[in-house]
Amino acid sequence: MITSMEQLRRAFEKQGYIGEDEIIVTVFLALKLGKPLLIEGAPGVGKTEIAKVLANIHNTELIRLQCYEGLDENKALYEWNYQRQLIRIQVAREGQDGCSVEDDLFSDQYLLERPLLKAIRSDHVSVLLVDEIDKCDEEFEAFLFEVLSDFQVSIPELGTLKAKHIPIVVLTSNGERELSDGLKRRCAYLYINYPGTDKEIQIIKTKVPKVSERLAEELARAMYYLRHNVDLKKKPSIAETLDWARALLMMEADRLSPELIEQTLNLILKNKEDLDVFRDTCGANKLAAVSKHA
Amino acid sequence: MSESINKLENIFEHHLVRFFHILRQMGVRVSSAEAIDALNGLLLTDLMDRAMVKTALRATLCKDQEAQRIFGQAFDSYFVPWDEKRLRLQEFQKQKEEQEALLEQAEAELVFAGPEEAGGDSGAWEIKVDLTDEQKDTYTKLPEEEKQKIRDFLKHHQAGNQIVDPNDLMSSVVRSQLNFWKRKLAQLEEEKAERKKQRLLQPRYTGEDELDEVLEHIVENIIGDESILHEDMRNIADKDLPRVSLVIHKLAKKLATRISRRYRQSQKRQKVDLRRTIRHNIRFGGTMLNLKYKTKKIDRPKLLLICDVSGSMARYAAFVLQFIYGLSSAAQSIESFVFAEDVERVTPYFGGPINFEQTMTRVMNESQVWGKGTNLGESLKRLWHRHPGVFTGDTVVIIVSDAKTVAIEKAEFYLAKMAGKVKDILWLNTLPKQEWNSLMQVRRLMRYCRMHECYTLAHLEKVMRLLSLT
Repeated sequence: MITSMEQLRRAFEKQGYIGEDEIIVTVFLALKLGKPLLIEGAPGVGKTEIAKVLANIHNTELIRLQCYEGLDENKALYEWNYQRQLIRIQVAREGQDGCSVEDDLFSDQYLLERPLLKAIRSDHVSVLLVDEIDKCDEEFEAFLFEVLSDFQVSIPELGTLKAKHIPIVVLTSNGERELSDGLKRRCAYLYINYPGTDKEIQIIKTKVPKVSERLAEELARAMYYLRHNVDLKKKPSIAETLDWARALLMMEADRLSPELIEQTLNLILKNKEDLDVFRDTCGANKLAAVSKHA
Repeated sequence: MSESINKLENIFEHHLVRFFHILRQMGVRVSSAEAIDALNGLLLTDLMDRAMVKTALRATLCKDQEAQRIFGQAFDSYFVPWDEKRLRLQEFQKQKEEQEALLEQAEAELVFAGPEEAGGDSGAWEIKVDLTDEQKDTYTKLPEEEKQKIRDFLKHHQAGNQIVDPNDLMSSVVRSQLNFWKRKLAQLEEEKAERKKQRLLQPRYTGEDELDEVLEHIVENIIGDESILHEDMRNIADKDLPRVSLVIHKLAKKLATRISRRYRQSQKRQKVDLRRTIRHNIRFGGTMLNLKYKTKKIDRPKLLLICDVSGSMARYAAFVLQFIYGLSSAAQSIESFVFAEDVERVTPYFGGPINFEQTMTRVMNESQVWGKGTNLGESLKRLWHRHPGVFTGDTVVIIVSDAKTVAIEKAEFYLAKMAGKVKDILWLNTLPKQEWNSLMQVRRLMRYCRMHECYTLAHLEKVMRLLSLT
């Protein structure tokens, strides 16, 4: 049970999540106020990771609802197991079972729980991650907004089901579209930016502990430069920094050299256009040089 | 003791409520529920820790990046040491008094003499020109010789003229002159900062000095935080074009996906495909164990882009071309036309493998209409008759123009015709919204389309947001 911000910060650090003060304060408020936490930010800055960390901290399961265009209630809430119901009807018709078929057909054993219902019916506080909510349609967002308001759903055959324990809800968005005011009003809001150099050095050292201090610093500076000074279509994320660090570690590198950058460039820049822009406007020599200076 | 604690709580709440009020005046939507969340959130934080208080308020009150940007400045402007606040207030009141004095002086100077008989025994009497504060403000900013010209006009046309309603006539002449100067001043470089201030943030002033001073302070400081998003597109330097290009490409991509998503929704219904279901379930003795569905074929909307490249839009040429280029590379089915006195199809220039600079050079060199006068009516007429196939029920028309055109009746006629045939017409107007009312063309054309102010990338982004909500 988290009772203070300091405790939450330590718990995050224990899970290997190096968060800015802003992240800790906002997550703490969302937990204490019982509000869903809406996290926005560029891909790969650690939005989803917060939900995973929260599940670990609370020693509970993470229920994930991945949003996409066309996602509807059937896939998010519940569905009746149609095939199983049919077989039940067939069996009853052949007279092998005398009990009332109709009552049976809409019981729990024929119900297929989807993430939202699973979170509502959970016997303990769970963490519900609604990932990339900006990818779903507006009508599904409105439905979700209703569920998150009351934490109860109505299933015509079973009646109204109310959450036994209000789940910890984390919604993430890449900002592909604007979310409705109603939904935003109900959430605590957190925008995560790319980390500063110092924070990224800390992250590298936590996640890839075998990397030398010097290499971690150079990697963080190089990434900072790429994100802020090169017009890339897709800026490298923290996950890509870590991949890069691991790769360089495997190559037994201790410093960032132009040759190493050229050899491993594909780990951080993942489309041709960005590679061209990098080579035209920056280049491995320059990147290696800027990574040496604080 | 408890009384003083209560008093302290009251002061605290009073300040917070005023702060919420300021945010609302700045356009941040703060609902009562969010205000309560903010108060509850503060109870969980260390009130002596400024950074923590700021984060707690931001997390509960501001739900997007723009709101957070305004919030940051509002917080820094409002929660300041008492001495600083008092000094700022005094400065604000001093400036306000000076401004009022200038307006009074303008009012005193802009008078003309009425007919003698109306003045009775005392002879001629003075009539004040009926002006708004904004018009008086424009007068105060004029060079002295221009002021003198207006005063001379008033003096020259005073008593003795047989005018039926002198007040109306004289006032309207002066008003027209001042409106002309307002527009002209806005174009001058020294007015650039002023214009930016007007368009970026337009807080609703409260009339209460203490709050208005904070609002003014926020506006002043947010201007310093200019980014390319808020720069007027006609002022963007060549060196910034690659960045603009990237932003426009992203925005255009968003627009293309959003429009297609909106249409896709309406046709999302799935139906059971009986033929395939029966065929598939024969193996189960006819029991429908596995249902097969059929979905309607999704037609992506067609985009029809009509861009003004006349003389009045020349300074926005790069913006217009960037927009076409970005949209052409993001959307598949797009037809592009440019117009001035006539209309030209430019679709073949875009969407190919050549880069933006080459495309821009080709279009500008080969176009016959570039930089000519604007005749929207004739252009729409020719477009309607020469390319009837581009107007279909699933076409979304996007017009980029300042709407300054001749032959307004014809333009209205064909725009109305188009509105009846296509799915939607979006008009991105490069004129500031506050100038729309003074332009008859804008007032008339906006009846047939959804018109949005659009001369910065921030505006373009706002249009995208609006589109996603409708």
